[in-house]
Amino acid sequence: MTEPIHETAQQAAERLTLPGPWEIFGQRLSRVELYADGLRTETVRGPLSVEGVALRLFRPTSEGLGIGFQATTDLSEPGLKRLVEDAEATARHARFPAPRVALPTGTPRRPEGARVEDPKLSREPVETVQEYLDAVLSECSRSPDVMPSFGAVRATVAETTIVNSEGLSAGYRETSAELELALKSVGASRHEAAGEYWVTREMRRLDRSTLPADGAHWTARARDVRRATATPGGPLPVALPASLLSEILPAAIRLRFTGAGRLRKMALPDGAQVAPASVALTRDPTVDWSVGSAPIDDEGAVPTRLALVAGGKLENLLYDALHASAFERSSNAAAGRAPELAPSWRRFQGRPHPTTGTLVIGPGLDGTDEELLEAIGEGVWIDQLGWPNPDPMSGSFGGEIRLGYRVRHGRLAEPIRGGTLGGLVFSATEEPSLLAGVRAIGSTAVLEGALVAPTLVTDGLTLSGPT
Amino acid sequence: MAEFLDVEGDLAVALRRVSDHTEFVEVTAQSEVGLDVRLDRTTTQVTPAPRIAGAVFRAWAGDHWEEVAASRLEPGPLSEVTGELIGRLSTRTARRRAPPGRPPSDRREAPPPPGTPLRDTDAEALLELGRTWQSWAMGTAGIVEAQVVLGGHEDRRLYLNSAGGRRLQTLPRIFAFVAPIAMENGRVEYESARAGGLGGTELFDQITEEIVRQKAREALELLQAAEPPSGTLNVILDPSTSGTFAHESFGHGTEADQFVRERSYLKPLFGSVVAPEELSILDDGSWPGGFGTLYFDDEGTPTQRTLLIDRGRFVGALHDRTTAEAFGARPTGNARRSDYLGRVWVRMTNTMVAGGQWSLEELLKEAGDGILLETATSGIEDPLGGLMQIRVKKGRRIEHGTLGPLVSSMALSGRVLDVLKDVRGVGKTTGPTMEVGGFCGKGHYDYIPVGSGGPYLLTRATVGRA
Repeated sequence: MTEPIHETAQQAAERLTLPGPWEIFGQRLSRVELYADGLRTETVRGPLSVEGVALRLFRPTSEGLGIGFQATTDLSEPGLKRLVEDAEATARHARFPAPRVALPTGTPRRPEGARVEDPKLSREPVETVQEYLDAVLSECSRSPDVMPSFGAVRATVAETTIVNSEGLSAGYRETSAELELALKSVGASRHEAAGEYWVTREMRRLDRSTLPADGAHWTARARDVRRATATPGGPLPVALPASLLSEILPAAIRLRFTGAGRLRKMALPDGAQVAPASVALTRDPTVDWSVGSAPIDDEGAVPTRLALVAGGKLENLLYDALHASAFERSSNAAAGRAPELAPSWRRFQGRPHPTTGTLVIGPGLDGTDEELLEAIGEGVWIDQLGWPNPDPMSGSFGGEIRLGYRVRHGRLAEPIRGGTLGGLVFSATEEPSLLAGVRAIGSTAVLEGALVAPTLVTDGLTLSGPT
Repeated sequence: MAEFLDVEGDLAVALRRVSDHTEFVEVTAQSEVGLDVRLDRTTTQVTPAPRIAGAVFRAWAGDHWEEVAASRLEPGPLSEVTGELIGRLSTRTARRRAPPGRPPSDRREAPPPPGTPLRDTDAEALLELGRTWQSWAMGTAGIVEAQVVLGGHEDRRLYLNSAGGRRLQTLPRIFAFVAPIAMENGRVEYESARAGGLGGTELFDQITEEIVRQKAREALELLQAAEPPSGTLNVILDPSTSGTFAHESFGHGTEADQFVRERSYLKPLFGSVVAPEELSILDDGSWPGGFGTLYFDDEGTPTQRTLLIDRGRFVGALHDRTTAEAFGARPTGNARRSDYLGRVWVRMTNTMVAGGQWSLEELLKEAGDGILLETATSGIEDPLGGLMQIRVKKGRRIEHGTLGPLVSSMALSGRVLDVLKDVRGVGKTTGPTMEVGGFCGKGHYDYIPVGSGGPYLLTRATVGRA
């Protein structure tokens, strides 16, 4: 039997008398954080408990809508009164070019969708986080030449609820967790530089069953960091696995593939050819355990699969209710909240905005990673960049290569490190880009964070080595 | 600060309750007020700082720290979380060892910094200012959009501990950003004028019509920018980039918690010469008006100026109480929390390269051929591996000692010790070297406001398109 959800938004709404349209987004959050120095527990934090709501209201003005917004953790009567006063005051100054907004209605009170709650983490957060961190550290200290230098697991249990003036009242429980791990290789010969392999993962569940394989993989990577040689420069094909694509693609397209971009005349034009015909990109909220999946978006609408790129051409843009209203069309349930000056786990502090949710790059016909390498012949495989730092306005990204591999004679050869990789992620013109330059697509897609993708091989990026 | 004075008694009661179960406990209460406005061609958005206040208790559990936080500054929630903390202290404390370092036991309050508080300016006045900036940007032919953000947040913190220490400070941070945007055939480029720091609304005066129009022209020029070069080159870092260099190279590398974890390639080099004599790098949490300026850190230690590299020699590190004790040093006022829900780490404040003797013209001549990197947008450290990444918005080729064509965005990669060793000239500074600040994470989390800056600096590194 499913545990009832704490109805933060509903309880706040019951105590307010407001003319519509309005919406209240509520969250009750419980956060646990464990930090380790090497194998030693250094700090235990939590449960950190936060309960808060955000009120957004829409007031007609001579120039469209005035949108008021405020968030608070003060759920007392005076606190809610101040919440309304603040939101009404901001609405008087704000402008948005739409005559009205169509907020979602008809959403089930307990919508079903992708699996986003780890029951054990939800029920026993402290114990589950501790067990997971212990298992990570154990799996990563099996070799005498590699040891964890830092480890942290942070997990959040969230009860998310939304109510609006149009009768919507919905909610769901979700879990999320972040693993941050640094592994260093020791004991190599003195001429080899020290180095660390960083693991940063965002997950919905703490699944220990994959850790033996993960630990062995990460340990091998840490050794490779230490023995890596310089990155070559020049025009070589580059293979990008899902783990790296997940740090680049969602952030890069979050403006110019959305209604927010269209409103500012920055969106790619309808039907723009952004990639070869073999490339398909879909928003798919039904993917289990993706950090981008949810049964409803952050305005309460139920999302479905949506083709963004089909046959290499731009097919659809992503809309939340507000930006959809500006074009007198329907939302496609793409609203997400990401506070700018607060951690992402406190979503109630942020306004809704078009977001990508879970993205899926369709698997191709070019085989396993081994077969992709064979097809490349000569090139590089990039495992990790320092920080790709995608720029959603220009569509560019780039960073330092923290670990990659030279591909020689169709196989992974020596590890490489240093130098840079970058370029455009997409382009509406003839300019080279990651997507336009795709020459091969792996046949197996894996979930990493909020992206399901196979390995891509592209000729559209610039590789810069020290020589 | 009224809300703190109202609840200080409740916090002290909660602190005393916990102190019966531990050798040491401290609490940081925090609240924020503020307002920001955002404008572009089609929308206007006004957002007050969320009404969020809370307190975090940190208690020594014999061999590690335990923390709990309450999001309501009222006796009930405070009692609830401290009860949870006491329960954990009772079951977990295996050894009764004193906590590291000597916590403050005196009581101090910092006066607010000079300047007109943002709360004296209403939303309409901010919008009016923003519209003026927007008109400057849009007044340049070819600029099709301009994004404007301005506002500020007043971060209020009260610190109490079981040794009798008390700190009270208000940190009003102002920020402003004007980005003229140019578009052509699907290509989008922008540049930005930025202002900000700790202080009052006078900081908005740093955004002038001349600067905004210059940035608008630069955005248009970027549409025509050529491909940047690739490879290892002579590079001159502009002030924003040399500031980011200081931050990523010797800032993160000298956060002494990484020394404790044996996670810093710099630790064994302490006391050694690591750069030419002309180079000095420092962190200064007391720098007047810096975006990363504060009066006390989140362990109650006053902030200070800390030399990290003094004329080429690695002489200093950034400490909290724990790392200071481990290395026989004094805390440097660098223990910082992002907010009451974030943990304490050793963090930077305002990090900068000190001024040298070279004019830009002399640096260009010395470089001969290479690239001038302009407008740093981000960076990331590599504390054990010793690499460093910096991303910049644009650059100019250097050809035969003079500035050549504009090129588009790039990333810089380099081994810090090599980049330091290759420093061949440090630019003159005639005034403050602090650039407008930004936000820094520890790894990929816990973002805090920081400042950075420096003069032009000539060295050698690998660059490529980004």
